[in-house]
Amino acid sequence: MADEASYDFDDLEEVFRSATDYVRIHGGSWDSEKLLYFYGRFKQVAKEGKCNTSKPSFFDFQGKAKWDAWNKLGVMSKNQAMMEYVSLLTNIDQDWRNKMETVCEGGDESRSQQGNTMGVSVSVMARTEDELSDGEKTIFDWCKEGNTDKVRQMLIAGSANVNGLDEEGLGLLHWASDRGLTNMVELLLSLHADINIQASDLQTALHYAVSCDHADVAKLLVVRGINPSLKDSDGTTAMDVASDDMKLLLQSLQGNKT
Amino acid sequence: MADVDSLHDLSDADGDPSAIEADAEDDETNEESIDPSQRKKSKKKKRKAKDPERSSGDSDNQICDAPGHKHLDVPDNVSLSQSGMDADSESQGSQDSKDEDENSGADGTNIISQSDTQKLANLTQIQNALELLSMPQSAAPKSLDEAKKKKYQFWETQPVPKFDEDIKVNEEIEKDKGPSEIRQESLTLPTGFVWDTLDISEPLILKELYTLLNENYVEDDDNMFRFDYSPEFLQWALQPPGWLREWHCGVRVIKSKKLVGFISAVPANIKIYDKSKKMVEINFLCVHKKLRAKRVAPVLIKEITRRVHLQGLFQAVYTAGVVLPKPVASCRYWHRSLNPRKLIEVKFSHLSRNMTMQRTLKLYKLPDTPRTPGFRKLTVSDVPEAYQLLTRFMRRYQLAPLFNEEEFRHWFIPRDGIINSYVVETNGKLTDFVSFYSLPSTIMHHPVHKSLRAAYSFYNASTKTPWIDLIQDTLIEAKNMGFDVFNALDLMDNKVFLEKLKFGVGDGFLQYYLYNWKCPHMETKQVSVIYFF
Repeated sequence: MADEASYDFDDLEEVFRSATDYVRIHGGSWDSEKLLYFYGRFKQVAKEGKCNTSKPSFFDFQGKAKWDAWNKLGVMSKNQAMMEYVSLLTNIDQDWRNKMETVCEGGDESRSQQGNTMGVSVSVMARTEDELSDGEKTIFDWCKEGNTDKVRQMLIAGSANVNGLDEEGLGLLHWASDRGLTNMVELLLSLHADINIQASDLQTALHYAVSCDHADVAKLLVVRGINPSLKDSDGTTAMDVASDDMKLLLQSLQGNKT
Repeated sequence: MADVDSLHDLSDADGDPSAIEADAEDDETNEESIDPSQRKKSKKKKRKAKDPERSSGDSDNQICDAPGHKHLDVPDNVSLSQSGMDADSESQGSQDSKDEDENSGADGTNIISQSDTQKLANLTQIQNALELLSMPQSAAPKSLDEAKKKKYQFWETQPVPKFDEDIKVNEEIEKDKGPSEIRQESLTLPTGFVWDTLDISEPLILKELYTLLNENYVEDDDNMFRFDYSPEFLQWALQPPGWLREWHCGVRVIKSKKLVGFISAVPANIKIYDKSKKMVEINFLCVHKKLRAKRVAPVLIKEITRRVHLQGLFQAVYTAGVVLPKPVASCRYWHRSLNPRKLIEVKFSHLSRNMTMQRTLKLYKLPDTPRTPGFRKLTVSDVPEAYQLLTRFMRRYQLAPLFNEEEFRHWFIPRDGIINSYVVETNGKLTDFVSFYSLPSTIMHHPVHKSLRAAYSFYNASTKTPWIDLIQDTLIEAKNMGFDVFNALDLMDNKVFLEKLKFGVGDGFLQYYLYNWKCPHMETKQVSVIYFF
């Protein structure tokens, strides 16, 4: 394998391609003389022949060095260039081909790869709504995203009312409870959100938390003293909309309190 | 100074059109420049290239190139991509710039240390590269308009219709080949690899295939979900009546014996408009991720074609997520949330801005049990009647499998965790039939949820129960079995119920293709062939 003359000619391109991969991965620490040698031969192969671009300007040092490396190969054949490329690499590291195989066979050298072969993918729900830019976002948007920093900032700066309702008739505490954002609920309460705030349909944050099975939020609200007997416009309490699991949770919490 | 990445930077040559053209040309042209001492060997190569099978097998690395869409990430060097499907002069221009872009990105530290002039030049290069990247040829096309602008070097050599072809006939493109026209020996694989026909009745081999597909088959663009075909599912999909071992075609690394590539064919009788044709369904083309630059996929396609030819079949039906010449129909996935909270948590779907979780849960709530009187699981004793029912019903479609009773048994008798079928029995008579298969996906990178349980609508027939009622009952069954989502394509009669039953449109497309057949384009409602994804 170390003897480059033994490469079957049909394999040369394969070997060369593999060699260029190897140089890309491992060549970072090599001196520029070697890298320029590789560069010139790579260009000779890629561009099928002699250097055919104009010499870069005197001030473009890197460009000029690369151009020189390519230009001095003249009319060297593609195969000759591939041979020389592979030869130098073999001189630097006799074992490079084995190392490449290891990479290919599941070594930890992970490299970016193209996607699946026939473009088949697991379809997911298409997004029907454009994302808002940060500038367009209101405190409600930040709240729904769970961005506690932004919400805290805006509330402390007084640029939003912690107990305001949006056009859907919900307050920040409702949204945070609906989305199951325990940290956000905690933050809102610490910044004096009314724990018993009712939406335009009179639901409390607890209605939202239990109907969505967000146990952590429900627990937090109950511990902080939300009134569980408040009724929405249909006359139902949070307990009425709770699943069996949630009912047990609420009952145990209330049992503890009394 | 000549850093390693810019070694392969071709940007400084792209002013020269002849250089670009040279890139797009085949190996043969450059042989003039080969020095005399090597001429003998290169002639040998030339001869080989004239062998029809071999040459197309060689030149079709574009297959693996083109449909993969993350072109920017392809780690290949020029030598690979120049013969790729993007090898038209247009994308050669962009190929150079892509290399530029890669370099510019990887070279960040170098750029900073360079002079201001150099910095500016690099910046312009990056901008140019980004512009080019946003052009269609930088990715495999997912729409017909994009695809029409591309050049398909490989597919133009294949018996498939061209995009602009106005087809009025319904017939094969090439005549069937005689035995002497079919290559007898397997195609040549890159050095270090060997063919291995897989015996998937052997549990260990089946497990190897399962692992290959699970780790390398399909991933969505964001890498969030991967199909997780169970070994039993694979046996069901790959061993229908008439299956052949030779059509379970694997590739192994010689040294390690590791399975790194696979492609399959299963026999099927397919109706195309007024004709029926014995052909194969090609599926499960998979190449190990780390080998995609090795051009194994195109050879797999050529090899399965050869093995199918050897059995006297010359047509195939296949599907792809990308647009190639030329789809017979283009379908889209729809998804019905059964467990909306989980789907949102794993980012399969998203709550829109003004939608509450509370309303979402209410929206997708289903009755506890099926509503249609007589709706029940298909049993073995139902087979003869259910088979007749489905066969009669499928006559309305223009692209559809013509099952025989044995195939019906295989595909539809319920198997736990794989296939579920139901019938509606009215006054002792079967009037309706529905089925769905189970194909979970692995959820990548989620702390709690590891698997997404998806049901896929399969073949259905409705003669009495309205579609809405029939499919709603199916949704209820799927929900009660613990599925998170119910998927359906917009083919068959599905458009009748998709929106009404609160399916949401998916981001996945499925293009249907016929190999060596031309026929007029079909509406999705004329299509009734289901693939396993």
